[in-house]
Amino acid sequence: MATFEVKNLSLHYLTRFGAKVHAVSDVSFEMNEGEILGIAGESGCGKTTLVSGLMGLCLPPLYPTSGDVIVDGESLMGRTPAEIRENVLSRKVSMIPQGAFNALNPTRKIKDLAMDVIESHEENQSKKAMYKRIYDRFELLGMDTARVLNSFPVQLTAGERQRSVIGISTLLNPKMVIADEPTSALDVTTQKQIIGMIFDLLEKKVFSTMIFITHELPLLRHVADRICVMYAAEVVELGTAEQLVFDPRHPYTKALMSAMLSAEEGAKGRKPEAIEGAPPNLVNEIAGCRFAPRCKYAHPECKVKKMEIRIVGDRQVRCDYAE
Amino acid sequence: MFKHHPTLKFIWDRGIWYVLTFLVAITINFFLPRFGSDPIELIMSKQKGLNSEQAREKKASYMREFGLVEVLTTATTEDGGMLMAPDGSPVTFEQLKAKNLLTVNERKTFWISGVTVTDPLALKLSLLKIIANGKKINGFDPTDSSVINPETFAESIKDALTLDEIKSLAGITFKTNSKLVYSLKADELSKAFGGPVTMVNGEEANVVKQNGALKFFDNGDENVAPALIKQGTAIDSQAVNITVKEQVQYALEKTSKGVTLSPIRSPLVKQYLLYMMMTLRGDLGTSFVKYPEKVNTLVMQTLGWSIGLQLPSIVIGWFIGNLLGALAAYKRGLFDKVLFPVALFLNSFPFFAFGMILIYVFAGILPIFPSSGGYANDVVPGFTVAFILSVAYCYVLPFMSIFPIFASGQATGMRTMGIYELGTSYVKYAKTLGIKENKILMYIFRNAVLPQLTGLALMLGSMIGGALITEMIFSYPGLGMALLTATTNNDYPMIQGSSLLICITVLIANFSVDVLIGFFDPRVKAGMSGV
Ligand SMILES: Nc1ncnc2c1ncn2[C@@H]1O[C@H](COP(=O)(O)OP(=O)(O)O)[C@@H](O)[C@H]1O
Ligand SMILES: [Mg+2]
Repeated sequence: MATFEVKNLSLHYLTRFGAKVHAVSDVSFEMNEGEILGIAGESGCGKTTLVSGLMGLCLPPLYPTSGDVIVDGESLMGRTPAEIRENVLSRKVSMIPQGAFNALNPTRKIKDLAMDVIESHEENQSKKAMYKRIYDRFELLGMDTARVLNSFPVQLTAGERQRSVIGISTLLNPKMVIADEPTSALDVTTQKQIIGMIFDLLEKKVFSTMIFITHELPLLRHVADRICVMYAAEVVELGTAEQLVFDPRHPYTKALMSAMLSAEEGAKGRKPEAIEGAPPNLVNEIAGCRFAPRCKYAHPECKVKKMEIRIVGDRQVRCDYAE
Repeated sequence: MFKHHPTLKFIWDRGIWYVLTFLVAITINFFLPRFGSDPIELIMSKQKGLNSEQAREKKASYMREFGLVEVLTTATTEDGGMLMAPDGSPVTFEQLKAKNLLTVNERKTFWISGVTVTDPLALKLSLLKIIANGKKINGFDPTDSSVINPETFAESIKDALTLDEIKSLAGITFKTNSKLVYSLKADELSKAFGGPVTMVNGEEANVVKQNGALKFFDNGDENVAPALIKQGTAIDSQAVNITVKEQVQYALEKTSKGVTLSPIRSPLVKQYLLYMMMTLRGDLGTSFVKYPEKVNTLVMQTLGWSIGLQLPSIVIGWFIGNLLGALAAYKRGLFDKVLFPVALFLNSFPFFAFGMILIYVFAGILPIFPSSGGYANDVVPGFTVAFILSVAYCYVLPFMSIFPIFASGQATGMRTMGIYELGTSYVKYAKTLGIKENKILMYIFRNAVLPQLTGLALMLGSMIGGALITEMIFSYPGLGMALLTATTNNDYPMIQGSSLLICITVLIANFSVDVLIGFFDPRVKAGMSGV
């Protein structure tokens, strides 16, 4: 049995004016212990929203529409927020957020925030014992631990803040860590260090299963076992990293890969190809394939016929014409 | 400066600007009454029943208090006479000092101004001893058995005996003059001034010619002949006592009514510097209307009332307002739906309008509370039960006109801050970490209340000037009322003094907030230490 199962998960935002934004639509996948899944897709395709769903933490204005998330055989949907807080967050599923600077309370020292995490999940911990535990964990992150722990977020560099966030998020050894574009705001050197650090923690068995979200596909090639590509709230293709990078089948994945690869090799003179057009508005009901308006290979019926996920070989593709 | 002390450097950097602002405030304060009609003329036009000389003196003293006129420090002899140099100009104290003519003579500090005979027999014995040594003391008859008359006795020994001999006299006590008196010698004086220095004496006013301009001295009279110091007189034992006296200088001015004396105005720069020095010394000047009361004392009398009215309104209002605002942000729902519009409505209400409505309703329609004053007219201020009760009774309406409005301002501010904090990334992250609700609430409250603390400090700073209009409406005996009275009476020093005081407290509050927030808020603190 898979440790982590997402079954037809759909989520929507309820806007002030009563409109629904269907930010995640019919997403399904399974993950086994020790696996690393990469999720890629343009900004606004619903990656961050999906993360909320995966943690079972749908806070207004986000509401679950249908589907379920099952962690270790336990369903997350339909449980009270208090239960989720106590048993799931930080313990089973933990998130490394996008933009670590804003994620840290500006008026709280790193050690105090870390202690708050422990105190919120474990009773009767002495301050000294907690500090020791936090200190040992932060040592693994390769920082000037004592200084960082006793600093306020503004006193730290961007890299140190990101590391602190990683340290705090993985403090209680969660089963599953979801990293939501953990490096997108950092410079290349720091990026590499942070990714190295995450994998170091994986190696040191601090956690074993991970979802790595990014809009940079080339990064995923080196990092992930499998890759899931999202477009306009839906999964369009899901397969091994090799398959998706070197042999994409869905027209969107193809376009994305060629754009990315050509961008990588841009120095050699190939012009990166941008994908024409814009993704659809998620408020409206969309008939037919969501990518059809931008698809080079679109057939006339693509715009009216709803595409379902199909198994092609040993991968999933949401395109009737892919083979 | 302070390169290695980031905190000190921070305070210094900020402080400089506040000091500059303060100087600008003084400058504005200085120039304001100098635009438009002359405050001195205004105040003089309100003076009734003065003859021309009284009026002139009054005007001169107003101008002097205001730092407008040339004041001369003159060397004056004990009997009110003034020294005059050969060219006819008055000898100033500074000149005498500069020319090294003044000595503090021991005899002067032991000046015999009164004698009390405590033991006539002992006194007679010691005098006889001195006479036996060949001294002559006029008017002393050892055979006369009557009691010695201290008055004439003091006169008779003053010139006849040396200081040591006088000190050796038994059976009497001397009242010595402890005032520091300078003395100078006439011959040296003449030498130093290159001609005879004369003494002008007497009560009559006098006009002295000097450099073509006419200068007037209060205590001079040319007609009284140079009296005291005669050229060539040996004054070794007869030095002249000098005291320092400040006098306004006058000039003759031709007007339609004829020739009058008017004080000579100082140049503007000098007036400005004088005003600046006076203010920096903490002297706010002298009230025109309650002359010669100092503005400092008048302001102090009103300050207690202003603070008493404002401090509780601000502190209680701050606590209650923030509590309600935080609750509204957190609970939302019905509580927020009722509180928020009410708070917004009250908050957009001007203090004075609210005050007037309170007076109209609770002193007019329903005469429950008094409409004006700090206490009832028929009680005497003091620590009596009746007085305190009366103060409390009069306090209700003014307090109620400020407190709800201030509290609602705080509540709306806190509500907005709270809602904002609730939506920040750090709250979201804390929630994904599964941190307990009450801890997250504490984060929010702490971060939201920091800016509110600034508001509190600023309100405390503007406290003494904050309820001016409320005080005027309720005729509350605070600074606002004093300012109103001063304004209607053209009491410029009082207006200037009170507004400067208000300005200073606001500046101090701002400065403290600026510095304190740096210590309380790590976001600012990091900026301070340059990380
Ligand atoms: N609070 C919200 N209310 C309404 N719509 C939202 C809200 N947050 C995000 N969305 C919408 O949901 C979609 C997915 O957003 P997000 O999950 O943040 O995308 P990604 O992380 O892939 O960039 C976007 O179209 C965005 O406009
Ligand atoms: Mg995102």
